[in-house]
Amino acid sequence: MGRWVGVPGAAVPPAAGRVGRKRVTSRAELEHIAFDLFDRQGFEQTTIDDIACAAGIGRRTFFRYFPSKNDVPWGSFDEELERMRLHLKAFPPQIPLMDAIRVAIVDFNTFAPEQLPWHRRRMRLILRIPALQAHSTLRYAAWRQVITEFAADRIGQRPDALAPRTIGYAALGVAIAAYEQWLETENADLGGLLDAAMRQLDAAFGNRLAPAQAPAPRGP
Amino acid sequence: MNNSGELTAEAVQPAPTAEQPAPAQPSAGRPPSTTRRQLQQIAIEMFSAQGYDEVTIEALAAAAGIGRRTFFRYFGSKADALMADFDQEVERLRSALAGSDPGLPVMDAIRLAIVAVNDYHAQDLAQFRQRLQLQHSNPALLANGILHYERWQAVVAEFAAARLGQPADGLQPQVIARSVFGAAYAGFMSWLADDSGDLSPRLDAALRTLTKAGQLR
Repeated sequence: MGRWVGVPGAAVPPAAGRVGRKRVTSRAELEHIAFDLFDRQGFEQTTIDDIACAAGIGRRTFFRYFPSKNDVPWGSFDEELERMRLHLKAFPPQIPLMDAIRVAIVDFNTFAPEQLPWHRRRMRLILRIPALQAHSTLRYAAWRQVITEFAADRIGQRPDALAPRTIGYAALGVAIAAYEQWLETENADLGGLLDAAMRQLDAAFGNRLAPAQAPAPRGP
Repeated sequence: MNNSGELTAEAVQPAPTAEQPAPAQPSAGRPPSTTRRQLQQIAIEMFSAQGYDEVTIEALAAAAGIGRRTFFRYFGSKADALMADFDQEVERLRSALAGSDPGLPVMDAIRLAIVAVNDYHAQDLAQFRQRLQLQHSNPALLANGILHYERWQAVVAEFAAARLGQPADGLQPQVIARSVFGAAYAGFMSWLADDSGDLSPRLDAALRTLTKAGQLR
């Protein structure tokens, strides 16, 4: 549990090379303060000084937690990405590739109930704020790379070969489709949607789609 | 277009504007796509030479021999000037899907339509490469490109939804649209990276990879 939302009090491995970082409690608190400001005055209108001031810290302290304002919604994404890499690596070879990816994606996006409202706000920022989209492509690329490298390793190809690349891009597209559904529907089950979306990818491309008169369920 | 990258006066007379009198021939509702392409070419050259942020719409319009208001007949923004080919591809994809054989499985129909509409890139690979490089070099261009990609995905989602009897914003049509876009994008990136071969077979192979993904170990 935990995953890449900043978890108050949770132990997240410190990023390499950072010295003297405060407890993650503070990072999560800073995130929450920033989210409130983004909601109240808009993402683009909120400055780093505004966030630092509201948090009672200096500008330089802000930069100890986040390299930029754009990084605030991404919490501890990078650290959690490393966990997803290890999770994928741990799957025994008899588990089919796409099943391993599906389970790892669901796990990567599993949150304790009290974190879900924050995660919803975070994802609404990431997926809905135009100013964040260019920045997000860097994070998406890092996520995709983890999937691509795993797929490449499994099928014995280089990570820049077409098939592993395709699996990385497609998996990201599927995850975003599930997230869009989740944001549209209060109380939707994120894990259930991600799981269903990955299974539907398989159904679609195996040409085993349900006929028109039997609509697929729209998530639990 | 001549070597200096300027449009001929003939090519840029699509509409009556403050700067220019109405052309003699009846004005069509929509600006001609050839002129959009010419403006795109000028934008590629100027953005590459001077940097996207340094080029004003006035300068872009002036290089094309048109006024600012005429520019906005063709594109909604400076960044959109880079998307003429892509916008046209979205419309071609819509037509190709609408004309696809109803007997084909939905994913085969999508794959064949995508492959069919992407052959135009082969006409000007250098320009296509330059356009993609520009887009990835500037956050504003990248963000704007993503908005255009959303339209491409909406076209695929609408087709899949109609075939499956589901709403276009439902999970299954969205999964199809976004995974197909991802696969096509992977095809582009792979093709750009190794600089060899035709694009269409690469797109076909990427989309077929998804078909086989479920069997991979």
